[in-house]
Amino acid sequence: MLDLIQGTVDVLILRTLAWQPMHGYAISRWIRERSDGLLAIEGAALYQALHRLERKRWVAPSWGVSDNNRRAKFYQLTAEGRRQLRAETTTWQTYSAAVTRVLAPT
Amino acid sequence: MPTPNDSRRVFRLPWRSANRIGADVDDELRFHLDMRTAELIASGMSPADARREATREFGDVEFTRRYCRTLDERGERATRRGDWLADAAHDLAQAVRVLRRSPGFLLIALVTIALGVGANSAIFGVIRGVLLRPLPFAEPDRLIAVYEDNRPDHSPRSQLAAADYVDYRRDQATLTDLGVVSYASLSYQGKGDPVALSGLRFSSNVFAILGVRPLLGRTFLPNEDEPGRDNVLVLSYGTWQTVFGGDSSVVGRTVQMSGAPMQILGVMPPRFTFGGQEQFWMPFVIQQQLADVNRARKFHNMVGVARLRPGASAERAESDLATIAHRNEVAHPESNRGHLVTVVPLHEALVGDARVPLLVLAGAAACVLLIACANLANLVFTRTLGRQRELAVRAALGAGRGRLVRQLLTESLILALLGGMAGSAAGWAGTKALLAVAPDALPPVGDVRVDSFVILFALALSIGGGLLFGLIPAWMGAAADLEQTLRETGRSLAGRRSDRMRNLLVAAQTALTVILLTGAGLLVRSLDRLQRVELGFDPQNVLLAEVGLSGKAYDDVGAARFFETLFERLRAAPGVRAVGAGTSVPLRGSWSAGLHIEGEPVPNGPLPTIGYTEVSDDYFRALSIPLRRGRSFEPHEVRGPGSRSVILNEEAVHRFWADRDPLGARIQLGPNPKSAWYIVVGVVGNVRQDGFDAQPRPIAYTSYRQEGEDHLLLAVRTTGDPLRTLPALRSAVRELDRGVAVIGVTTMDSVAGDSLSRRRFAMLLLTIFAVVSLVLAIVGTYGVTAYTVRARTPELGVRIALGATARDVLSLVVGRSALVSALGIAVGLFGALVSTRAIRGMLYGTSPTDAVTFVAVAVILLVSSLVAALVPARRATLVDPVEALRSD
Repeated sequence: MLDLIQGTVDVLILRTLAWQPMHGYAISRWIRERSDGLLAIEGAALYQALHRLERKRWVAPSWGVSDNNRRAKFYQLTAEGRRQLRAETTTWQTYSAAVTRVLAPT
Repeated sequence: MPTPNDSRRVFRLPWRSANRIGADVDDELRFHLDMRTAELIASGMSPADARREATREFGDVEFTRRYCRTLDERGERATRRGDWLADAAHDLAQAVRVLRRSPGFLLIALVTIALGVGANSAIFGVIRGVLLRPLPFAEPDRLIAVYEDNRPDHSPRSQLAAADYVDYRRDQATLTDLGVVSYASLSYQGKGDPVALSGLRFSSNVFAILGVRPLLGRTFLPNEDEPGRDNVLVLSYGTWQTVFGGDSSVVGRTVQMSGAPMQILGVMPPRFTFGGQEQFWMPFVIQQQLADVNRARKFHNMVGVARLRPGASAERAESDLATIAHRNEVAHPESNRGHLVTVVPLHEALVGDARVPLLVLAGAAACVLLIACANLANLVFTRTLGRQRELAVRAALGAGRGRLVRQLLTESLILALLGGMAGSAAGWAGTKALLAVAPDALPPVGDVRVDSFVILFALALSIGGGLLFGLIPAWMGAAADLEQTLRETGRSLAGRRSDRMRNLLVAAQTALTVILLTGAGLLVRSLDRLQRVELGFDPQNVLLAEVGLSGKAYDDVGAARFFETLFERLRAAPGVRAVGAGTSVPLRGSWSAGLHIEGEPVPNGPLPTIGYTEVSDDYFRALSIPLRRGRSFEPHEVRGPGSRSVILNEEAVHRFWADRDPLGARIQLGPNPKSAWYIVVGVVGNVRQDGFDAQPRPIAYTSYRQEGEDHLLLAVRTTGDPLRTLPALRSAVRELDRGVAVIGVTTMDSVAGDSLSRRRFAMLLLTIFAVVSLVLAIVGTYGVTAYTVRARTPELGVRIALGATARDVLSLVVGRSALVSALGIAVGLFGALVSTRAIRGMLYGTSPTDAVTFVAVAVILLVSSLVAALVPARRATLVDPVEALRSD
């Protein structure tokens, strides 16, 4: 498993929520599965990030019922969150492409 | 199910408390841990291991919990603030929309507030300027006025005698200093006609006692009230500006005043006054008076002014001075028996007369405000009921009661603010109007003006009243069962409770109006009585003017020759019917003297007092005072060694001769029992000498020639406008002596008017207030009846359909309203019975429970409220039953 670089948690969460509204646990599972188990967000970091994003109004919370019929807090990407995701995705891709180019054997 | 982001805006999710936020965070984290634990168990771990592993994977749970809570709480607060602002903006826009939709309501409400607030702030401005503002002297609380308490004459505020003053000043132990004040007049001859100036004599310490400094130059030195050093004076700012052109080089200059040289020492600041509109101050020299044994303790011509020592009270000063007065009673019984001392705060001495009328007016203004508030409450209440459907719809869409009340509060606030603006404008205009109506009805020492304080008062009053009386009825209106309102499809909205409240308000308004109208009615009747008072003389077409030779080189004979020649020339002038003169005229008071009748024992104390006026031969003819017996004075009666003539009024004959014929009786006048003998040669009718409201008192008239008087008040009876005779008078005086001033020109009519001006002022204001209240009360009655008719239209329709006649409908609607009015009138009459006692002192010849006034007021209110109810009631008779029933 890889340690996550600071600042990538937010963009991963936003990307996950672009798929559909989900609760925190679902987000962590989704990221783990999509990265074939390579990326795992620590619960503490995940929830701190979610509440931070909520405060920035990039995600909007609402209480719903989970698959196993428990009360769960769902997060949904807001219009502003979607804009933010687009911007950060571009930044991230440029960045990782640059890093990749530098690291590539010549 | 997740809801859209903006849900809070539209449907308003309830706000979360701090506890709620904490519980939510806990729930969320527990959910995560539970889910992960379950997953690990499913992969084959034991429950205990699974829980431990899940917690380990999670990281710092406790920190995360705290972190999330803090963040959420902060977010919540920001949201609330944002919501509040958005709501306020929304409320504001909504309120403006609503108010603009009903301009009639807005106008009536604003006019109501403006009337109530305007009346109150105008009166408040006056009270603040006159009663509340401290005197413009240093430490004014320590200043007192000292009067003589003349027990035999029942006159607690009479003037002091010089020797008594000297004793008080020397022997007192409670004052830093005591000074004396008296009236003075001068004439200044500049380049043109002589200018008459009126002012005060101050003992040299008075300026220091008051703690005031001159604007220019200096005031009196301690020895400048001694004979020979007293030819100095201090000018008022106004005199300096108007008479001396504001020329600062006049300070130190010597000018001719009443024929004698006087040095101008200084100029006082613009607002300095000692209770009047004095134009100058000159030293008060009392040495000659002190040296004359017949005048030292018997000639009362000064009022004391003093500053209390630190810590001393006016009461202590009075008992201190009373000790000295008692001592003098024993030492000088023939002059001082029964003559004690009265001490009052200077503020009361200078403005005290205005206190009761002003407080009464303030009470009246407060009544107007209450009536206005009742009207406002009724208006808002009725309107809220009319809007119940609107409110019910909004409640159904999710607005809570608090939210609705807030909406209504915003409307009230806007109304109150607009009303406040209208009210302060009205207060400003009201004060201006008040000052314009009666500049001389208020004590000049006051400083009445519209300042920011008065404006603030008006604003506070409008906003307070507007909020209170706009919000309470709104709250009550909104409290009605809204759901039911919706179901009832807006038919009859008026509940019984709200009906009762509105009727109560109307009854209260009516009651207050009755009280005000009664007060005003009593004052009107008093003034009417006063104006019909048998004055005893004819004030029409009489010119008054003072001519004084004082200070000029005229001996007794010369003065008499001057005046007799002047009378003769004036009589020859066109339009002149008679020329009289005296040391005073009716309504202007008179001097007093002791009376001793020949053959009666001299009392072992002060002599009985009698009014005393020196007059010319034609005085009675010029003023149309009837001669009852004997004759008037004749030209041969001049000053000489023999006995003199005296004429009495009927009151003197009644009091001292028990209505027997006094002709030929011999009397002595004055404090000195050794003075000349007078023979009674005539009796004249009584006149109101001391004012409209003062009963005639005994008066002895003597001839001015016999007394060697050189300062007379001319009374010229004319055929037309008396002022047209003035040029003739001026030229006649100038031809006789260029240096003699004609001063104090006025007419007897305006003297009569002036003596009523304060009463007229109070009467006028109270009447205005009463009329305003009446109008407001009528509007109130009208409004409630009109509303009732509207609310009951379906019911009335049914009644008409079932055969009720117009008369039935009318009596149904009006009867209810009449009942309410009758209740209000009854309560009001009772209230008036209790409260008109407050104006007892302002009444003349009218009882505070004057039946005519009470009945008239009751009838006026009954009739006007019936009319106010009839107008909307007539509309009720025109209800079309079919229309009314279909309207649902």
